[in-house]
Amino acid sequence: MQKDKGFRRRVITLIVVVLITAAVVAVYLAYGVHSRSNLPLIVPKNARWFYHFQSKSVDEAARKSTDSRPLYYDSLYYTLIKLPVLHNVKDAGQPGIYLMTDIVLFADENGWYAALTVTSEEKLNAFCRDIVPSDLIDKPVVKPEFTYVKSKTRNLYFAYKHKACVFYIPSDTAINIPGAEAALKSVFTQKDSSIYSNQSLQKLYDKDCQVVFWGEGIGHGVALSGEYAQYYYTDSVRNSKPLSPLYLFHKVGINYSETDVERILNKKNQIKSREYLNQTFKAMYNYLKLFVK
Amino acid sequence: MSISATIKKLLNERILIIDGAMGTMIQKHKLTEEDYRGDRFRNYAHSLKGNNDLLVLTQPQIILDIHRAFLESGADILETNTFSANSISMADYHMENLVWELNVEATKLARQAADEFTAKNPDKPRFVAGSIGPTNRTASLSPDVNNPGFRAVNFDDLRLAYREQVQALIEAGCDLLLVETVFDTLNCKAALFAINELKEEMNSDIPVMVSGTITDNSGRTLSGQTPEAFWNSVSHGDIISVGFNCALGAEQMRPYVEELSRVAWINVSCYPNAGLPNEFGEYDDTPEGMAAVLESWCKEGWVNIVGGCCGTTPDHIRAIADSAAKYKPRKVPVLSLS
Repeated sequence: MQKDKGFRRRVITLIVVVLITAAVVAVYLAYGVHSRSNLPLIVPKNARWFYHFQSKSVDEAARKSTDSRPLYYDSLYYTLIKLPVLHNVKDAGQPGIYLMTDIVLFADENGWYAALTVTSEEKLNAFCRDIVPSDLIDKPVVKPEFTYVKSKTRNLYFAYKHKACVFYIPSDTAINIPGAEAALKSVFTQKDSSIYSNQSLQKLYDKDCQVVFWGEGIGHGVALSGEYAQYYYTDSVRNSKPLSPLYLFHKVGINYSETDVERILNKKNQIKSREYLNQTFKAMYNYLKLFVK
Repeated sequence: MSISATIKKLLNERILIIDGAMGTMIQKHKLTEEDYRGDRFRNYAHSLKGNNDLLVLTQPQIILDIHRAFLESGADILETNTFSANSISMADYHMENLVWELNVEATKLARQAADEFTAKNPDKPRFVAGSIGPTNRTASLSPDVNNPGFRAVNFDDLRLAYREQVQALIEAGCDLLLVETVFDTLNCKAALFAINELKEEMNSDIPVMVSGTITDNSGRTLSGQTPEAFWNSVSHGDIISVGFNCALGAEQMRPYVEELSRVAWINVSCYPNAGLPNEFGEYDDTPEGMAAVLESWCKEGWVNIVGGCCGTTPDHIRAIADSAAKYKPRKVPVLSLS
């Protein structure tokens, strides 16, 4: 029972991180900015789990198959731009973040993180200082390794330095500023090796997977360039006996009826790349919509 | 006092008035395809004319003005413009992704109007009922005459669709939920199942109303139930009222309201059409004529909530409200254990 609760909490927190990240991606959705970064280098080798959504190549893959975007794209976009934190954003460059680069989520022993690429530290300073409504965040705190702001309403921190920014939610729900600063310092301090040095994970990138997930020694990647989403696993057992394509979506809160499953999957249990994206956007939307009333 | 308790208290004190026909009022605006699309859906790939629920996004001022007109005429309960805002019905327009947004925005509009009028006269609080329609599919009947076993929708599909709609209605701030125009009791049961699941999950005590539809003079719902059978089928559902709406005019609905009033041990509601549609599809019952019939029900002590469905305008609601104000609500029978 305890294990179930822990898992649920972990999944919920993952989703919170996803939605925070997605909030920032909003401006991409509005303005169509494109770029790419080496952002996963920020993830320490001892991360408990890691999720990498290569937004640009996902978007390119989606455009290959059809001109029209997945159904939930529209809903996600209109929800994201209504989020309070983005109300004063007038153009894509304003926050100083590359908003359609990779989205990287990870967790370590301290908490959960969502990372995006910074384009201009100066603009990001201005965004945190002047643009985000003052009832949402505290004033920026400058540390030698990073600058951060704390949410006024949640136990949530946003830190940045040079080319990376990170949203951080401590696993301990009690507010502990020195602890949070120490955790962020460990992320922003140069590392001897990152998660990229994990050889089994590299194999997924070699398969051109646009979405990569790794956790507890097992990982999987999803390649979306073809008509159907192609799943690859880091272990051979799972490769021969793959999970249902809807398993992880169900785990993050999407309920599927029998009719839905029949509509979404073909008889070979495959999901179209476009539908995979649709379900991804739906998962993000399902959590973000609760923040817009 | 909580909203739920306030509503229950008021139901003991007077006959509450539910608003009139949203569709009829929208039709008066003679909206074009472009009007339905608005700016946001200008380039949408499918036809959107007739998707009345979409108007909360594309023509919110029209919906707000309709709400205000019904409140002005004396309605206590406003229905949100969400009759078809569920993923099953919205699939006809390829808009199932909008369900949450439609329900939230519709509730916001109704909430705004209701709160305005409550602020003007706190002695007459106005309430927002989340309208939950039957969907365009039936779970207990086959639409295929050559295959009686076929079902276009099943209980689980309906449950999931209703969950999405109901969660949005509750989150957005509805005071009540109204499962209405029930032609198939199995659809209604899926809605009640979803509602009860969510009430528990969300720790909500939101009151629920159920309103069935007697489809013709056979005196039965489409799924074949008489008023008493219908009541027996939904009475377990933790609901504050049961009643009938749509399909029939007030005069035709009289015996069924009487029967329901006799058997139901909760509040009884009724909001009929403004008569039966004429050859042009229009409704001819005048406000005075319809109010006179409903007044006779009030006088008999059959009803706790009255109002109007298709074809009823603010004038109808005003006449009904004036008539109902003269009478005490139906006394809800107390069940004896003996």
